[in-house]
Amino acid sequence: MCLTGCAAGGSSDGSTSGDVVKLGASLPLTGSLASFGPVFQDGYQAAVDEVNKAGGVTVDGKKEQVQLVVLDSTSDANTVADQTRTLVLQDGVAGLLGSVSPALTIPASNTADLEKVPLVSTLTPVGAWKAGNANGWQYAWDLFFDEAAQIQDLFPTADLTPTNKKVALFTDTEEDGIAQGALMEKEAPAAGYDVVYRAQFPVGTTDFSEYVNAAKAAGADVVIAQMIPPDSFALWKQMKALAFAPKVAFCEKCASQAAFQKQLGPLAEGTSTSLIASDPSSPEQQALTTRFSPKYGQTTDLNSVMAAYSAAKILLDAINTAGSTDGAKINDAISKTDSQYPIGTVKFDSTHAYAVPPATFQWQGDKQIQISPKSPTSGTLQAPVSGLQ
Amino acid sequence: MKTALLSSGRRASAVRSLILLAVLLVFLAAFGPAIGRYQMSLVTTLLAYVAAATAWNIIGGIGGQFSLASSAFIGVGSYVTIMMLRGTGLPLWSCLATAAVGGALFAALTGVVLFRLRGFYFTIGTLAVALAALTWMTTFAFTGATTGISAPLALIPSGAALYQMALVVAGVATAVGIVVFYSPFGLRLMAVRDDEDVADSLGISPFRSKMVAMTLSGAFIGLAGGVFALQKASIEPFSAFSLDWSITIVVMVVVGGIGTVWGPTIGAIVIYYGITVQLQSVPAVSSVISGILMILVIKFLPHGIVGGAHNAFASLTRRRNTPPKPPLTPRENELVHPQTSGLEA
Repeated sequence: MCLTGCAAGGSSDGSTSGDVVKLGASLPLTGSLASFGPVFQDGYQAAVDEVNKAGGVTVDGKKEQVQLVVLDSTSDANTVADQTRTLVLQDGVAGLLGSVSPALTIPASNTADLEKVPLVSTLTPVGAWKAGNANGWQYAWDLFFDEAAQIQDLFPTADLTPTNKKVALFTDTEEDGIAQGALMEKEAPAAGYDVVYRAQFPVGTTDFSEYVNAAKAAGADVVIAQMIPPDSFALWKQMKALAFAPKVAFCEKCASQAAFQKQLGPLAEGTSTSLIASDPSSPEQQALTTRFSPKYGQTTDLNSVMAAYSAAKILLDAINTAGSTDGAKINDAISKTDSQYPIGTVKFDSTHAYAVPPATFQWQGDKQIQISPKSPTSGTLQAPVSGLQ
Repeated sequence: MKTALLSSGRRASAVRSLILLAVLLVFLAAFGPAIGRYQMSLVTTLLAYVAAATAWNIIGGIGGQFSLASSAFIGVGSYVTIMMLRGTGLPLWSCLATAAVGGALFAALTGVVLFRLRGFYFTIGTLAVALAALTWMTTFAFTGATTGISAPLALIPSGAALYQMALVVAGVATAVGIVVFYSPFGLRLMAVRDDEDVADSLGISPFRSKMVAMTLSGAFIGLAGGVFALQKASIEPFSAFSLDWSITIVVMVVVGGIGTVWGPTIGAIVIYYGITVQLQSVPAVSSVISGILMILVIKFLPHGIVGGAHNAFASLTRRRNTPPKPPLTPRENELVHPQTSGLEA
């Protein structure tokens, strides 16, 4: 039996020179969340490239280049756990970068805590992420919005157009689908909305006709869906086919990637989603926009790149501050982060989270226009959802 | 007399297999700490797979009941282990023992209901159990529903301790697999596998035999699930009850040699260490290669790698032990090759 040096490791740039500091990430490059993986990889790599261009990170008094090692998790939680262990134990990474969604980030966070190697993640709602470790994370850090804040942003956005205040929820049975669905049901009355129908279905559902007809019969003017992108493509097509035309439609997690518009074309028009706002005044944000606009256009994929870039930059800055690849020292440096990044002025709280304010975007043509909060670049909500009319 | 000779031959084979197992375990125990943390982590996972595949082989290979409920047993074992660890503070071994009990009970319950079915209907029934268990767990608030549960990280054993645990679990599962295979109970189970009605007419209770096999299988698959859970520290239904477990275990046993003693072990090494780990950077390719390998094995080595190796060895031995044939007499040659003989003539 081959017991040494057999396992393969993937490198994004193939660099294997002697004195390099490695960062590792197990990302969903294939599978149900494949639309997120390459975007994350771009953001992480952009931060690494920038640091390398400036000479690298300082470790034990000398500059070392940084190498990003990326493995494809196939959107599977078990694979994330195995691969992050490989990244730490075989590749010897100094730090880990997170994946998307609690299902994939929590296993990586566990590896970080068990192996005492710091991990910085984003695009993972902080409430569900914190619930992944009741005793509190020690080496894992997350920067994204809180689910409650996200929901508090949804109903005011729906208020921007007259509706009958009746809501139909379409939530899958993944952890964030169940958790956020329940939260929406709880918060809706306080915002003056009535959840008249809630469909719950397993991931991989392809026939939504029964649910769509029930929502239509309930007379819902507002649709809020929380599901993975491939399933949402089927739901949106069936809403159109069954002539269910809500005045406002949110597709959380599903419409936040350019893949939504690419797959649905005109059907995507008018659909809204939550993500994090970008800071156009940040020079790093401007550089990222210039670099990635040709690839991603004016979509929230750019915001995701920015979030991933921020996560990687926080980790790299911490390595520089620590002047070492020692996990405990880097972790200590992360805890003291108090600097401006494209995602905001990051300062982690005692639960290792930095709650970013959510923003709502709407698909208008092939662009995602920020609807709320208001900013110099934001637009107005288009209603009803013209893609479904 | 014939029966006695057969029993003695089987007993000798059992002893040989157990000695080989003991040697392997001693080797792994002695050299484990020297192989480094990463390889130790891989071998820990491999050993858990060996335990699960060997356990499935008892009901699926020796018993011929093609169960796809393994993912449910893995899930039950995982959840029981983590919940016991969180809630009771019992020693790790007690938590793992409870996982085995949980797996066994769930398997027995599944068997009671599904052994009314045979063949494909039984397989589909076990698939339904696996899916139902997954769906149930996504809504069961007591176990954290879709969020799942985490073990207190301070209670998670070190890599070396977990390696020793996996070694014991795989060792006991393989020993039980060997004993079952060579025991009278194993023979009864094979009789049920080969023809349930004939076995029944000979006084063997198919239901009882299958129930014992299913329960044993569930216990060790649950135990393996406990080891997997301890390695991951946190579990949620989609990973703990994933159907991938059922498929992977079946592929390992089929590739290694279904219904053989060492087939599950060989299959686990080939599929996990030979394919999954080596192609870790391209897991999608790894799945495709595993599938192709299974198709090739079914086509060209229907008894798996172990069965193929056994046949090749038997064929070689036969050839070596068969004395060379004397040259044909002219009359025999004429009978065998009439045309050639005629031409020569």
